[in-house]
Amino acid sequence: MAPLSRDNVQSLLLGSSLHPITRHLLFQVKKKDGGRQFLSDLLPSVSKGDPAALGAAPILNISLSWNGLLALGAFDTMGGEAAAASAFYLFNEPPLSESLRASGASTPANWWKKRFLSTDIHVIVHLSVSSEDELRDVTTHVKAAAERADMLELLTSAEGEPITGRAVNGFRLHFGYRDGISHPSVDWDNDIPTGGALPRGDFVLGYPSPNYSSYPDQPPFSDFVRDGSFMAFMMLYQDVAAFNRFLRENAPKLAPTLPQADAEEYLAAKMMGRWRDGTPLMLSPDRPDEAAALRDDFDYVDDPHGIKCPLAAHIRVANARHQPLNDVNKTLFPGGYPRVLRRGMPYGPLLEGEQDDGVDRGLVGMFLCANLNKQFYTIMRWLGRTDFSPVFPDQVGQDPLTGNSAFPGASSDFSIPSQNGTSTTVKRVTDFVRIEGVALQLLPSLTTLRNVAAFA
Amino acid sequence: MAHALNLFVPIRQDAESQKLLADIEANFATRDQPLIEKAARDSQILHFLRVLITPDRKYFVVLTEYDGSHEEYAEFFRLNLPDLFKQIFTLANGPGSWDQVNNEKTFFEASKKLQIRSLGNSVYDEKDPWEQTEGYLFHAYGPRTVKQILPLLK
Repeated sequence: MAPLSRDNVQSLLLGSSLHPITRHLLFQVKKKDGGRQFLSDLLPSVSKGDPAALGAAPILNISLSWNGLLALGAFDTMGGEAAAASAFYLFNEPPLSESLRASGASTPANWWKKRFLSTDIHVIVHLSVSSEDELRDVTTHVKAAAERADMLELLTSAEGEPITGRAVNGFRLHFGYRDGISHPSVDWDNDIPTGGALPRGDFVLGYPSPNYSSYPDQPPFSDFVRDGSFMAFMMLYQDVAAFNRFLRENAPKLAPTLPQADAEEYLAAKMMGRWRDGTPLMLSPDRPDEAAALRDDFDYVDDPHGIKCPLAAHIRVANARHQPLNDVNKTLFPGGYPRVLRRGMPYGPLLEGEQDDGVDRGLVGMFLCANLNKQFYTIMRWLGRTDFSPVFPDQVGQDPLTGNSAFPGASSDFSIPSQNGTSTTVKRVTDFVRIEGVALQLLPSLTTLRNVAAFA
Repeated sequence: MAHALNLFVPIRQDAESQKLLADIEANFATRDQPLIEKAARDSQILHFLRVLITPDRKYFVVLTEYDGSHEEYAEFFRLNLPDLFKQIFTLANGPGSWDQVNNEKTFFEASKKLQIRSLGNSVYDEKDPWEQTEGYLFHAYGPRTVKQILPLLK
C-alpha cells in the first residue's frame, strides 16, 4: 500500500486550482505521428501534483478520449482496438443520453453547437491561469504545438474563441451561488482510508476500492490507466434570464410576507439547499450566515420531511449524505452515496435581469471518478429523477436547478414544505440548464502520457 | 417508461448442459421462482417478468419490462440473483464461465450481446444499450414507473 506518487498524477485530479481563468482547447488528431508529437511537445508543461503547491504558475493538463487513444495508436502494442475495447467499460462508448436525461433541447444532436460530435474530440488541453496575459501566452504555446503537429482544433463558437471560463463575482456561478464549497475528502495515500475520507480507489484508477470496481482491471490496460481517472467533460448552458424571471414570479408564493428581494433569495436558497453565499439551509434555514458559508459538516437526519432543506434541493440530491437509499441502491451502493470530484468554472459574461441577451453562458464542469456508471452516470440519473430514495414523495421529481422537463415522465414541480405542515409547489416552466456537450475523457498519468508520446 | 429485456441465451447442446436445463425446468417453481419473486418485488423497477425455454431447447429466454437504466438493472439482478445467473451462464454457449462473467462490466456486456431487439420503434424514443432507438413496447399506463403505479393501487 504505497503512497500515491504525486509526480505521476495530473494536478487536475488532485485538487481545484484557485486560478480565476480556465480554458479548454479541443483537438482532433489528424495523423498519429502528429498527435504523438503534440503530446511530446506539451509534456514538459503538464502540471502534476497538488495544484495548491504550484502557486501562481499556469496549470496545463491533458485528457484523451477513446477515439483519441485510438487515433494516437495508444493500444498498438497491446493488441489494438479490439483488445482494448474488451478491457474498458462505457468509456469506449458514446455518452449515455438516457442517464444524462439528455432529452429535448439537450439532445446529443444539438451538442457542441452542432459544429462537431463528441466522438470527434480526441484531446482536450485544460488550462488554468491567473491573468489574461498568461492565458494569451499559454494558449499561443498550445496552438503553436498543435499547428506543428497538424492537429485540428474544434471550436464551439463561430468567433473562434476556445471554451473559456472566468470566475465571476468571486467564484460565483451565473445563478449567483458561491461555487466550490463541498469537495469529498480523499485519502490519497492509503487503500483503506482513515479519518472518514473516501478511498483513493474511488477516483484514481489502479487502486482497490470497497465501493466500486473499476475497469480495465487486468494488465496491460490496468497499468495503462493506473494513476489516471475517468472524466466527464460537460458544457452546460445556463438561462439566467429565465431563472431570474422564475424567482420573481414564484418568490411571493413561497414567502408572501417578505420583501420581494428577500423572498427571491429565500426561493433561490430552497432550490440549491444553500443560500447564495454558501450558507447551508440545514445550519441556517432562515437567513445567510457568513460564518457558516463554507461549512460542509451537516446532514439531513433531523429534517426528514425537507422543512429546512427541501428533499429535491440540488445539494440534497447530488450528495444526499446519510439519507436512506431504496432497496436497489442499497445493493448497488453499500458504501453510501456515490461521489465524484468536481472541477468547474463559469463561462460567458454575467447577466442581470430577465432580458436574455442571446449571449452564451453557463458552466464548464469536469467530473472525475473511477467508475463512470456507478458514480457519474448515477448522480446524473438521480438529479434527473428523484426515485433513488424512499424519502421522496415525488418519485419522478427532478433537481429544480438542472432538471430537464423534456425527459419523458419527469415532473417539473418542486415542493417546498414549511413548518406549519403545508407545502408550496412551484413549477418550472422553462428549464434553466441545457446540456451543450459531454465528452468522456481519460485523464492519464504522466507515465502513460509519456508512453503514448514516446513514439514521436 | 419501461424498457424491454428480450434475453435469448443460447444453450449448449451437449448432454450435460441439457441435463442442467432439465434440472432448472423441474425445480424452477420451487427453487428459483421464490428468489426471483423476492428480488423483483424488492427492486420496485420491474413491471413483469417471465422465463421460458424455446421448444427446440436451444434458447433460455428471459423477458422483462423494467424502469431505469440498463446498467443499473443488470447490476441489481447480478448482485441479487447470483445462483440463478450462475446456472444460466453455465449452460450458455458463448459468454464464458460464470467466474468470468460475474462482474459489473462483463455481465452487462454479455447481457447486451444476448438482447434481441423488438420490432418497431419506441414511442418515447428510448435508447437501447447501444444508444440506438429501442424497439416498440406498448405502454398501457404511459411512461409511469412501478414506483408511481404501486401507491395508486393502495
